Amino acid sequence: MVEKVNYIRYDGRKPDEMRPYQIKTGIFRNADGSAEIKLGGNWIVVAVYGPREHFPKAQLSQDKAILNCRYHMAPYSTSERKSPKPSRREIELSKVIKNALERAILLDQFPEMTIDVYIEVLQAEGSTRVASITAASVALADAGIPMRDMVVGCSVGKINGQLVLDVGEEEDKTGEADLPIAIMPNLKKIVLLQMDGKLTHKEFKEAFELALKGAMQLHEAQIKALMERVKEMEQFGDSR
Amino acid sequence: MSEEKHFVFPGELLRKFSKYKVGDGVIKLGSYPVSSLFGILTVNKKTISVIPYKEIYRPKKGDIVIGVVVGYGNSGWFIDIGSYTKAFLHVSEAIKGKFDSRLNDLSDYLRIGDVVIAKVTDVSRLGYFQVSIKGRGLGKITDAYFIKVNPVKLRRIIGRKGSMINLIKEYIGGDIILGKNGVIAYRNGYEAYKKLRKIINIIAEKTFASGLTSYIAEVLKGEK
Amino acid sequence: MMRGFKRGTLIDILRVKEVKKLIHDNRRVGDRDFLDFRDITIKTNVVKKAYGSAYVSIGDTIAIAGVHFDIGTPFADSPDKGILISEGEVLPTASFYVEPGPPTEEEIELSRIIDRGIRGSGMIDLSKMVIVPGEKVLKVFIDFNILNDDGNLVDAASLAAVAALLTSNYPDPDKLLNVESAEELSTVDRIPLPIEDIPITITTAVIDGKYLVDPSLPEEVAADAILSITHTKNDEICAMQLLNGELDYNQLFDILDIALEKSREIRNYVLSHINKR
Repeated sequence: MVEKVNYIRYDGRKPDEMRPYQIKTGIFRNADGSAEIKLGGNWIVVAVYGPREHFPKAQLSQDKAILNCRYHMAPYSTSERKSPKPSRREIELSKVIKNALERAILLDQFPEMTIDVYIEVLQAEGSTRVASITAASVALADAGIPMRDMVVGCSVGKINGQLVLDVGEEEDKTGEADLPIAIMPNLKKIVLLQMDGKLTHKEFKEAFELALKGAMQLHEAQIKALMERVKEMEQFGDSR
Repeated sequence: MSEEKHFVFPGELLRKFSKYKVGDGVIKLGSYPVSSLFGILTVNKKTISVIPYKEIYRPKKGDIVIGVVVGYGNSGWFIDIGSYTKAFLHVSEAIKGKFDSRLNDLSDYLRIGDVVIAKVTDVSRLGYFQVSIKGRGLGKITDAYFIKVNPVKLRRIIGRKGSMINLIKEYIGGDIILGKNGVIAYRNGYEAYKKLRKIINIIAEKTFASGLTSYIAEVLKGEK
Repeated sequence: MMRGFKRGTLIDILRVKEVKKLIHDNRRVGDRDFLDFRDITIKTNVVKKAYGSAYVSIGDTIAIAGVHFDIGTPFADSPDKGILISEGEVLPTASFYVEPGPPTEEEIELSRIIDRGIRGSGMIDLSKMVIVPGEKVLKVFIDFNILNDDGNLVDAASLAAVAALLTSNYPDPDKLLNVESAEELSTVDRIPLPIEDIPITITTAVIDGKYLVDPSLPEEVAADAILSITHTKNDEICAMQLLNGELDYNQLFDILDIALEKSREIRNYVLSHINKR
């Protein structure tokens, strides 16, 4: 049970409250699939290209597609300019996000091909990796790429001893722990799991349950985003 | 399409259909069928499948496809059909008689940039599939306009029992060839092509609308 | 996994097949217990030029860590703290597949996991690394290298880094007011580096629902999931990373319990086997 103390966070939220969020899909004409997520001040877009031919040919896999994933932050996305060169953090996040999406995509349906997932963080405000992976999963569905399940993520932090859902940037900087996770919600499997800071086993268990709660809320938003595209394609009168 | 459309999502468990055979877009995880795509759940006899919201075209033997020559191979041409994998047209499936590379070049018959209508003959090869342009209606096509749509839209463009495509042909006329890879070739005048393009765009954008055929009929009449 | 499988040599493939076959009979290669580590050797003070160092082997996996110090300016948002930088590389000596070049995503991940464990546990009290608050602080560098890769690089690198720090000396900050360069720094009298905690990382693989602690390379390749968990001496989790694969929720908690148990064991082992400086 999360402490129902009248704990107010830096932005007035309750401990188990998410920031406002919205997911849209079909936002880029050229990409095979695309999606955008806004979570608090985060603004992240994802484009999926593929399956397509892979280069260099020497690296292709004959029994399944290769998944390429790039998590990248725009220089103007943070309060101090960030160099456009990939930082070590971006490289690590690209890897863990790729590993997570690989669990869901049915790669063996496209041998010798590549699927490219490009994540661009246009504005960052804490918990970008879980927001990114949530949008990436929608972009993949938008592209018609077959998956065992969707992938959705959420983060939990510890601030002044209190566990909080959906860590904001301020909380990330000053908090005592940060736990980003991503799951396949129908299969109930964890595909991304990292922790830094300090948590007792008991706190960890609570934090995990709280993160699952947040993830399921974002999962509903994923479904809503895809169904909204359907709605646009059901109604006459307006043209995109 | 007057039936209720039931949309499913990747990972969605289709518990009610565990006794059914698994078709396109559905996979078996353990003993239960699960949707692997975002699309419309379709039950046909004892098979469940998902019609994708966006289709990744997978060539099947016998499909008619329309593509562009993009390269020369050892004994044939590579054709891009806008799908994730390329087609290979062996020279023996394109010309009568034997091809003698001492006397001729592949480019004497088909050059990069040429558009062809081809039939899929073999899909077992990794990395590319085989096509042929030998047969009626197949071969290079030079006097047509082309429209590309996501292959899944073809169902709507054809309509139930051909209702949509027949309606279009009635009003616009000309020669419409539908490639399974989502390329449409149209032989007629430019004005007629513009009309067709407009109609196809509406169908592609409003794929899930009910009463689409009547709406298109009105648009077509309005044009007249 | 990148390692070991894009161009698997015959030996690697055969080793993986062996692992999978034995798992069916609930056995492990070499009849190792599922919860046992391979033989661990720890040698400290192996590089005399460094302020601290350790050479660790877990089975055939070999890691070396070295500790160095330098003078620096503190970060604007923590003027009263020194700076900790930990980084590592897998050297080309380590395996058939490693080529010299810019760090791979796995090397970067490895470095960051080790860093999080040391930082998160508070092993080094950075407030004891200050020379002039807001102006001049000590920078602690913990660098590690993997010399041979037979799996479980995380635990090997982590043990090497921790053992090196445990036996490190450092220049007394009170004597550094007029010291400006790393060269001068190396001539200053040294005192033992104050240590606040001993983070221990335990990596567990899941194969066919079974848990294997300290996976060897073929076990990592065969694994359905690999989870690394770092604990402090007070049983708190201070770092965690799902390296590969997917986990059921209950598997996560099973492995947490195993990792805690093993971390106490390994911590005792480390403490009894390092030659105190």
